[in-house]
Amino acid sequence: MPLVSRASSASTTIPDDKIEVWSDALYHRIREEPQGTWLSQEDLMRVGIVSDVKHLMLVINKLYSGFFLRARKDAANQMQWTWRKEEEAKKFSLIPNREYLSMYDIIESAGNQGIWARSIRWRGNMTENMVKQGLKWLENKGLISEFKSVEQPNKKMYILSSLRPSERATGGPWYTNGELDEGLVNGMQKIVYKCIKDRSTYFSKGGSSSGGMASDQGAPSEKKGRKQPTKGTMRGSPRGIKRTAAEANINSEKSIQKMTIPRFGGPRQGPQIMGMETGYTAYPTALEITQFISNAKVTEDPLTQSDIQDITNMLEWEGQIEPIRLAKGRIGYEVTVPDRIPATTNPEDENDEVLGIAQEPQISHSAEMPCGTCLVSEQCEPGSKVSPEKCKYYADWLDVI
Amino acid sequence: MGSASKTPNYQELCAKFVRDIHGELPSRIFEYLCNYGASSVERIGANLSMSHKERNSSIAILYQLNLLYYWADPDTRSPTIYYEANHEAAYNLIRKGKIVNVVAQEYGNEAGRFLETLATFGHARIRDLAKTFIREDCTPNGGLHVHEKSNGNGDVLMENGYDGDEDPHLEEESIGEKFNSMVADLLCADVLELCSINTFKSPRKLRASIEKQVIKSKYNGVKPKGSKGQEQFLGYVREELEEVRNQPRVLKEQLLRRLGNARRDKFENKKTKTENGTGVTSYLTWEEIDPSAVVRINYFKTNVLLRNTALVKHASNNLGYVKGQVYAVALRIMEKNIERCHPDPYFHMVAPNELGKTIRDLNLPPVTTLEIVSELPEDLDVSMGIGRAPKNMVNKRRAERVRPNPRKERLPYIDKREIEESSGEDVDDDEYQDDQDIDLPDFDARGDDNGKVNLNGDSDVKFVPRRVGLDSKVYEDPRLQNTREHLLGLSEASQHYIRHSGEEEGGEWVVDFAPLISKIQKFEMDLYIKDKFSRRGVRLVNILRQFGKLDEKALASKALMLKKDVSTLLNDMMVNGLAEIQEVPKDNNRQANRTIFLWFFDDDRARAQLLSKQYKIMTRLQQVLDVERHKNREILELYNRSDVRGREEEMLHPNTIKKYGVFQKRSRALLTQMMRLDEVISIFRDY
Ligand code: SF4
Repeated sequence: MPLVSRASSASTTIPDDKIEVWSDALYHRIREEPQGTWLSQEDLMRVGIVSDVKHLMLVINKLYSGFFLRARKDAANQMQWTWRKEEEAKKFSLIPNREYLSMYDIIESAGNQGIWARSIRWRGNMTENMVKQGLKWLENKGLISEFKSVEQPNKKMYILSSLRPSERATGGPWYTNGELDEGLVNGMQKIVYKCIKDRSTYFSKGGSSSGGMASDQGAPSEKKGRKQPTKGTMRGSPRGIKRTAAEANINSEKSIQKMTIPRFGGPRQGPQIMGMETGYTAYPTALEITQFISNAKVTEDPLTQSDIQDITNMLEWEGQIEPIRLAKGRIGYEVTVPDRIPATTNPEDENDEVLGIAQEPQISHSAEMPCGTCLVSEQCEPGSKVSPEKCKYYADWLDVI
Repeated sequence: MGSASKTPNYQELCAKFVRDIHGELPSRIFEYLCNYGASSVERIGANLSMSHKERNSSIAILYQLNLLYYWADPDTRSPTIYYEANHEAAYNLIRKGKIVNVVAQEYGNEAGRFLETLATFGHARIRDLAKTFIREDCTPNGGLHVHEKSNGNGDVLMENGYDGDEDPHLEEESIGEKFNSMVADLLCADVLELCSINTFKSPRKLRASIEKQVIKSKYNGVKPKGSKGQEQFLGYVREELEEVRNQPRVLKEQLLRRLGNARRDKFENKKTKTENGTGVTSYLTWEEIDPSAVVRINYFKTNVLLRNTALVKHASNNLGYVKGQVYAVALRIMEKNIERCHPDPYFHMVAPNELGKTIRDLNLPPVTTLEIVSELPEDLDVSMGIGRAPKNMVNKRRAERVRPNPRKERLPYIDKREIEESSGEDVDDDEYQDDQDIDLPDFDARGDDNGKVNLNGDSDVKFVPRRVGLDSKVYEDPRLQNTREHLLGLSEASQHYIRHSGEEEGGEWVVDFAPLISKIQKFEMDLYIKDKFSRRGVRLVNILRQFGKLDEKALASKALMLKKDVSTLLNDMMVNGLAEIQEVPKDNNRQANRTIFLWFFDDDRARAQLLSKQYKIMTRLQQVLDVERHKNREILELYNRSDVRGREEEMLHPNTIKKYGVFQKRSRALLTQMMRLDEVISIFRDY
């Protein structure tokens, strides 16, 4: 790392205590800037503590050697500095030699992304052995720690012990020790889906009852068909969700399984879960879902909106929900094809079981008949070894129907 | 129809259909033409070693049913006649049941039966058709009349019966009159078309020869050069093509002219309601239709009817029964203006004034809410299925938005050629505009707002008073209000089944078919992927659709899936032609560990794969059906004997009857599957 040395010759004329006072004053002034703000020489002049550039250099030098400043060169090769906390500076002063110091400095500058051991070696231009020793020493002293990054699972990554690895590095709440927690993801997916479903659909009793609109009023409120909730219950905290979510310690699949919803099948005009009227504005947004989930204390660590967005994205990609543009650029969500809440569920897809995500396909695809899933279909030709004439699958299939 | 229609699987399937219905010899010729392209009679005969008689009668059968096109060079004195296979017609054989059903639903059972007769003939003179038809009508057990009830799902391939109450004692005259108006109905609806000299010519050759003719007659045989000359040339060609395109409708035009303007208005606006649909009834005499005209079924138009059925089914499934019904009515009104689902690849050329539109959606006049309300079935309770929410959660202003222009969206499955570049059009406001409706005073649901609000100066989004063209009484009719609400719901749904294009007569509505079908195709593709590879497969595919090419690591982190799962699933999908991989070497030595593997998903290729697969499965189903028939051939022969027919119970052994029952159940199951496959195929190819 570049050190400040240009102004050293001018030091003779200024008493040390003055420098001391100035450095103190400057350090306190620049600490008003948020941490990590890089200041140029001009910026520091402008602070107004020191009026002479030479004196400023002495002051900077003093602060730098006390580890109160970090230095770097900007794109135009000009020096820049930023302040370091006193505790941090103290840690630096514990470090015995220049190599370790520069390693520690490199790790610090990597911030919460952390840095790969080998990158430290390249940057510091050091031997492998030295890096090894240094890292060991720093780790033993509790200054740095090793962690696993999701992005580079096979690399040894280091970070200051005082920092937490960034979400990008750890993968956010969905990863535990760099491993994807699928149970958590799936459970969350169900809760978010249900949350959206309850606020974007209503229960239509169907039937051929005539009469005005009153026959089919539907405030979106889950389990509406059975109990008659008063209007507006859904806004604050729909009862159904609250109970289930509170119950649902997200890590235990069991509790989620307990959540039941009414299943609606039956004739076309029979009871169905259907979408809301046009112009409906209360489709839940990611923010609202986040709030709901954090109120319900579903997870130990609170999830951020962007975490919830991960889940809504996933549901969207799976075609289970759809975004709806609301006013002011807000995006709300609605579940797709709500009336096809399952008559049948597919036991293989664990999602489907619980919250009735499964939908009966509108048009049964080839998967339904033997050829659609047949593994030997490429070899199957009339007259050959595998052929429709001799097809065992069809014989069975035709027997069953 | 894309290149997928020429794959071996497709050809095999078409030949199979021909064989199934018209027997061995014609199917051999058809297959030969599929494999070897246009051939002369001599070559066909020589290569298939058939006798003259066999060859000629087979060709006659194929020709009669329009299963082949012919071509004879008009410039040669005694030209050789070439034949080529007409795949579409062959494929349509399997749809006959469906087509008959949909026409029966819309134009009455008689019309359905008539169409079935005509389908058996391929093409025929109206007079001859009348004879057969009327005779059949009087002797319900004879001829082509199969009186087995179909359950309306189109799952009976060739046998169709109707629930209609036919009176065998009707006087011939009255039948004649009924017949006339029915034929007129069907002609006016374009379901029937006139056969012209060009009908059976190879469309490819015909188009080429028209261009050649234009060069010869207008430019002395020298093809014009330069962009201006080219433009003029295309103009001439377009005129000629228009004429060819209009030939099948000459009879319809004549009819409409003869009916006179007054009657024409009557036809257009106040269609008299018949039992099963709408039609021009009983003001035509025999002479008014030219009895010597040769007609055939216009399969392109019947595809439009089938497309409507599919759309209604889709909308009903998504948005509920009532919206589906309202949609059905809207589509039916629109239908008369829609010639075919896709532009004719040979005879349709874009005119300059049509630029900027999706060719599929050219010049469709909107339907209005009033029209729809007046056609709604009386027993439909439109107050159902709306889902009223508390007023403070509803913003009608947003829902009421009028969109004079189609939305601009990025869509898979739309042929780039179908959308001509439009100049300087704005981007869809849905994507980019931040509307501020919440800040505006609430729009009263009863429509008191007479002011014109223009949001952010965007001309695409405006609200005009809702009462335009209506006196308030009509407007306040709850039936109209509710119907409007359903229509708005159809347009608000993410598929955008319909578009609110104006405010005349309680609201004007159009359908943008191309983007709609594209969305339904995507839906079907996702469904297919879900069936085969679970929801996670769909997740991966949609991520790839959104982000383009990604490596496994990026995919896994976006999809929140384990990398090994992603990789297994993608490899599985690749084997099935649904995901694809691109290798990007990091340096010159192409080692695996110095290569980045990027996954991607190509909708068009996936579609081609899917279609080809469906064709193959359909062929297998047909073969399994053949096997079943072969196994039961003795029983079937018994059932076909004229002395047995109708008296099966008394003449046959109970075991035989039981066996026959099993066979019927099985064949019905197979045919049902074929029909379902056909639905998917139609969505991806024909609609
Ligand atoms: S073996 Fe049977 S199931 Fe497989 S492709 Fe052939 S006919 Fe179909």
